[in-house]
Amino acid sequence: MNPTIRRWLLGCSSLAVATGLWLPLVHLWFEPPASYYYSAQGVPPKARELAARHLDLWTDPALKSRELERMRRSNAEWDFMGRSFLVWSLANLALREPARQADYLSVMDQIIDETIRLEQQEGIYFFLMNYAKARPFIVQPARSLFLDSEIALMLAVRRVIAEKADYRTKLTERIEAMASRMRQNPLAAAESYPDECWLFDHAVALAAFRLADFLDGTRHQPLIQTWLAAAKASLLHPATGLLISAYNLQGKAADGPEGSSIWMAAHCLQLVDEAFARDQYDRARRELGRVVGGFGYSREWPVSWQGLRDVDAGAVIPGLEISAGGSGLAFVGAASFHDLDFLKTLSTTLDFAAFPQKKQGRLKYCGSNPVGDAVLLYSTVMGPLWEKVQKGNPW
Amino acid sequence: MVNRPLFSPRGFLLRALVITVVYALAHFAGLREYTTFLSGTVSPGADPHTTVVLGVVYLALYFAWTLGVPILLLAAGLFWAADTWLSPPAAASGPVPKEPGATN
Repeated sequence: MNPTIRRWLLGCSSLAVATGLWLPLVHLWFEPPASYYYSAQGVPPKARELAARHLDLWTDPALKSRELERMRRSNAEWDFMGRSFLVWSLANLALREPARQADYLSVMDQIIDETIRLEQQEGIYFFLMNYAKARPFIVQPARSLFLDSEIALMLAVRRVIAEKADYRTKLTERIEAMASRMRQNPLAAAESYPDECWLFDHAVALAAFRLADFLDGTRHQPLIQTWLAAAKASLLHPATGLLISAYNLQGKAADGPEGSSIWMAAHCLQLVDEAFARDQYDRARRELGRVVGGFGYSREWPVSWQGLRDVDAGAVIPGLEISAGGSGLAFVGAASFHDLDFLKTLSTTLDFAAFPQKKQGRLKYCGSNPVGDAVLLYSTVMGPLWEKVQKGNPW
Repeated sequence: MVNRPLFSPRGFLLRALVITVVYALAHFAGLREYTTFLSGTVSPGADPHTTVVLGVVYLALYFAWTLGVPILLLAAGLFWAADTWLSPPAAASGPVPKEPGATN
């Protein structure tokens, strides 16, 4: 045989066999031990490392300013959501690690106070994307459920850890503002943006109502049931049975199911309708969750729906339709429902393709940003808070 | 060595080494920070264009290192084993054979 042809045949065959050997094994190289990112009690090492990095952000003004500014350049919402997920994470950390409760409460208060101050000083548009100004809110005076629901949940989780009189008043005001608007609408819908109602924000609002009832003995169960009934009747995507991500005040769908909404929605619905939440998680897992070669991820949209690409989804890698935003929030869903197999594959993908960087016990993902890392932190510590509320005030 | 053809065990090893060195340079130069473009954010102190360009460069080198280098190393071993196994017995007892495709 011609030596050149022989060399090419041997070379190509060797490369093909080597590829066939390595690709199925590569996930094993990046698969972290479950004890690193998941623990029913105590604080898993990954949570400690992510939390250390976030606490630095809130104790080093220069670092905080730099990181928040670069998020705001892309999306002001991320600045806000990074705060929310961090406060929710710190509340769970305080329950997991009572010895450090005072440290965590101090940072939670700092974040909550600054966030409310900015909202009051700069107005609601400070934490909204610019298109919010393109037209007026239909319900006046203008309020955003996006802001109200997450601030309410921040205030509530803080008070679950330790009571604070000032926050009790603030929570009551915020809860009543949301409830009165939702009661005015037959679908219990409220705007996050002008004539835009988002599943994510309603799910967070329901969780905030439940916590307010737990804390203050109020009774928002009828309102929650109204929303759930309306959602089951008119907000399910026919092909998948998944809740759609956005609709207007009349209940007309503005978008289909999205990975960047449904995982968090299922997590919040756990507090108000466990069976429905479980059903939504199982459907999301089937329609959006994917595992390829040991690497897990979330699609942004199910196969039966092609949504408009928006900033919530983050980067979407064509072909496999891997959604950065959806995959980040899939951690929250998988951890909520103790889907450890999926969590393992998601964690493998994260360590492979999100570029972790550890320095002096602090962890960040270079391929992510502070809001993404805060979501990941939340997924590693969530659980105790929901458990405390469910045990303390069963429905 | 420099003229070693790609399709030879040593050629594969050389390419693996080159990828490793270039990846290490990019890594220690801090290019990993620029992969933040994947989340739609800009690296601190950089403009969006620079972030994307350097992020993509790092991404390409990273995947070349994590996927390409192990494949090249495995392929080099397989190539060498197959070539030894397929070589005529006389070649084994004669002069040291040149590596397939070697030109110098």
